Amino acid sequence: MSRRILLVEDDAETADYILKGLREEGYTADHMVDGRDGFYAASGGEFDAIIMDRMVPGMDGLSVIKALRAAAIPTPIIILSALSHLDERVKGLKAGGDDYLTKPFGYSELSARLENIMRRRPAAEVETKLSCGDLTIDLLSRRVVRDGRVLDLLPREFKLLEYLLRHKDRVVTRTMLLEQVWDYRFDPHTSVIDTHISRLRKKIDEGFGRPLLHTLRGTGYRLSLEP
Amino acid sequence: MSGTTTRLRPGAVIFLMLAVAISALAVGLFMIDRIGEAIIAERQRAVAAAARDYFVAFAHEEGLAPLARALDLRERTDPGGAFRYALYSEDGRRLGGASLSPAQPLPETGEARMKIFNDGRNSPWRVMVQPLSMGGALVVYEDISERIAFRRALVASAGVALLVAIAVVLMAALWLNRRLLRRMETLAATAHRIAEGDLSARTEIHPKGDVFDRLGESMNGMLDRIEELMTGMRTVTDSLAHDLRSPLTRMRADLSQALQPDLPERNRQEAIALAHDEADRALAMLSALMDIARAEAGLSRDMMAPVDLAALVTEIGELFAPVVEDAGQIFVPPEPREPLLIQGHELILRQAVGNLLHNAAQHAGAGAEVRLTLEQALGRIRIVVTDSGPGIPEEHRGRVRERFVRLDEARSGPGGGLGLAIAAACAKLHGGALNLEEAHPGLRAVIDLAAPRQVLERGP
Repeated sequence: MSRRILLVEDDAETADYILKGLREEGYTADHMVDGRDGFYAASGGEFDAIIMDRMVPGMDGLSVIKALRAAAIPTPIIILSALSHLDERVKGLKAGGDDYLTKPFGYSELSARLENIMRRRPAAEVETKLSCGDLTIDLLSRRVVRDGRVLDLLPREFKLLEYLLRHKDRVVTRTMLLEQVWDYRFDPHTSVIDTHISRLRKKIDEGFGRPLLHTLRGTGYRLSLEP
Repeated sequence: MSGTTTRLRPGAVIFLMLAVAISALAVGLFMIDRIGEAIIAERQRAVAAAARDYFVAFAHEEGLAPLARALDLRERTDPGGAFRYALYSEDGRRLGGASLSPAQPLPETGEARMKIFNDGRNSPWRVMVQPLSMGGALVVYEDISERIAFRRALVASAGVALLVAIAVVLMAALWLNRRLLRRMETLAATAHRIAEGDLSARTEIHPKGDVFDRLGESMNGMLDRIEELMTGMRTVTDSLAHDLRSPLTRMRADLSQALQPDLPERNRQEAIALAHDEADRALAMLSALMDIARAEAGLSRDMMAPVDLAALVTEIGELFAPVVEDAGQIFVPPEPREPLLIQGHELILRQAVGNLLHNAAQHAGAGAEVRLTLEQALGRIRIVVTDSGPGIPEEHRGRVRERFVRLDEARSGPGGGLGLAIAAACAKLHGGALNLEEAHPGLRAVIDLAAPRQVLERGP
């Protein structure tokens, strides 16, 4: 069964763009223009994720999210907003949103984030080891082993690798890494994440047969066995 | 709740008080009249009954004729009293006593009220008839006109006293009402001036400080905050309008270029790509400008929460270490230390520290040392980025903190000239300042903040 996504967005052009992308990826997508309708649709709790525009007619996006959270609807929510300043991001996440994406954005960015919020695991499940192929990290001893060899990673490299492993086989974008690993707002002129990735790649992939850390042009990165 | 409002109109209040006063007056007078009448009538009746019983006993002992003589005697010696007595025979002849001629026939027995003409005037009397066992009847006449006059006088004086009391109360109420209204008027006048557009209007506060002064104080506090926010918003919109003109103008120029009909396709693509990049830059700039403007205007203040600066500088140091190292410089990270909590805006602080490190990587040149430290001394907290590069000449140090100022005037490099402006706005938001100092050699960029007075607990 395909996964159901609810899109609440009043701008027709943006909505078409997102719906086209969602359907191409095989999602079942419902679209609401009005915040109030969006709230009623979402209050059943049958969606796998909600994409919520920050400013929609009828009922403000943040109010919808607050109302859903107050009604104990746990559906993961991405907030879309033309309001890009830092205060708005904090407000959105405080209201109960799981992620905050500023317009304009590329579809691949939205897609990666959507995958990410839908795969959040319940907090009760504590993992001590993460792995991908012959690469394993131990979260307690902070040891990184690939193909029997112990790798020496800096704390920041360990943190980055842990995030990539937690999102194994899925695309993570540069802005996701900046925001979620360092809580730093995306800056289009800073290739700081590329620098971190290339250093990490040198340590975990160089000298091994099969690369694990893949670059997806124009989108981001993926850690997986398959290229 | 907004549908029901409690309105207090002085006219209605006075009318209500008047109604209450008038009904109180009516009830008061009625009760005085009734109670007075009851008390007096009871006493008089007792007097009449005692006299009657005495005369009846006298008639039994002495006979009718001596009683008639005694009553005649009394009538002669005391003709004007309130009580008069007369003795009648069985056939209705007067045997002795008062000679009064009632307008109506007397009852056989018991009491009656009637008008009797006496002493040249027609006045109300109460008549008590007591038949005697030896024949005939004793009649007690009581002149009640004085009693009625007394009652009237009592009611009149009580009425005057009540009227005076009500008048005093009403005047006091009017005075209080006017006083309250005048105090309210002062507040209303201030609100009116605000509504007219004079945001600097404030209400006067008396040092004595009653409830109206407290209300005025709250109102002034509210107005201060509103004015601050309004000015802030104006600053934000003004600076945005100003700062976005240049990238939009450049984008427009690129697009006009692309629209020229005889332009080769390759050049057209190039112009469109330039406009696209310009749009990206404008968007990024917009975000940064909003942050700067909001921080400068203090609008971000409600987003403040306890922030651990020690963890923050360590993380941002980690984030930018590869950037500094890739620029051929040596990065010295902050030393590990105890958490240092301040009330702050975490995201702007991160951005500000990142910008300082980024600037150092950009401008200090290869081989320089870039050091990030967190210092705490003498009630100040300082986040310091020191580089051993060429530094900034003294005369430019003030200017580089402004928006879009770039000393090399190059447009191609990252930053867009907003990096230090964000750091400066961030420092200002936190009640501090961004200082650029000489490091001999190099530059010392300091976000200088006041240390919190009390130890902060980290919130949930």
